Amino acid sequence: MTFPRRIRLAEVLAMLDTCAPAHTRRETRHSIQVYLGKLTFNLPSGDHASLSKAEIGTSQVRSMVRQLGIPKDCAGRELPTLAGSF
Amino acid sequence: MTRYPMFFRHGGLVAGRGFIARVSVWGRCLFEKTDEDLCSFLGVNPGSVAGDGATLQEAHRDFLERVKLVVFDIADEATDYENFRQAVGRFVQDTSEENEADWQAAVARVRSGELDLPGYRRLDAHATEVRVHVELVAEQRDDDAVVEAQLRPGLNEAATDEPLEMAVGF
Repeated sequence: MTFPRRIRLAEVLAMLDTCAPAHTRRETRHSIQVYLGKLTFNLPSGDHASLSKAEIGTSQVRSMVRQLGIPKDCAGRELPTLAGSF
Repeated sequence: MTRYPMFFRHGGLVAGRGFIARVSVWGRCLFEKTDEDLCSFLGVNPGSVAGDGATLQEAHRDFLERVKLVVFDIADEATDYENFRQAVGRFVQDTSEENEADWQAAVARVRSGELDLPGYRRLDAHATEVRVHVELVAEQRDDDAVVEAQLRPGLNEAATDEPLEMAVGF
């Protein structure tokens, strides 16, 4: 199984909007806290001030999908480079 | 992809509104290595963080950095020391159920001899507890003092005053 190490944060947030429409999120100083029901995941804020350019590690996304119970088939469709890695 | 059941220890000083505290965490995580040698640490306790890197050491440092930064965020928002202490406890005890299941499966593989991570000591997976210790080090009586404490060199920086430690659960 091969997948990239980094992924654009904007793509991850778009995946959340599609695959977990009930989620909410808020920014703290160092993280983007994602809430789904009673579950929480702390995404890093990314390595760039501009959201369109910021990237995060793919382990963050894979762990978030598992932690929040986001449908893996949907996450894989929205993030095809990570399909099958959840 | 291979997953190893790990324990980790991490700690340091944190400044918040009206307090300076020492936080020590003994938690669990999955070390994951792909066939292409991509390394990840997926949190079990705490379940809401992860880390990655080109090597185990790099991924471990990234994971610990994420743990530290979330604790800093908790300190930023806590109304007082007690509020902070309770929030850190909840953060660490928050378990990722799917990662927990994989962690237990990996423990079984270690016990059966199928899996090993040379160079790391082993801890009994069922006798080693997840725990967090928060200790009030000093009180600050005004917000200016807290801001100054946060800017003090070494405070709220990399937690280097406790050794980084990992062990394999078995």
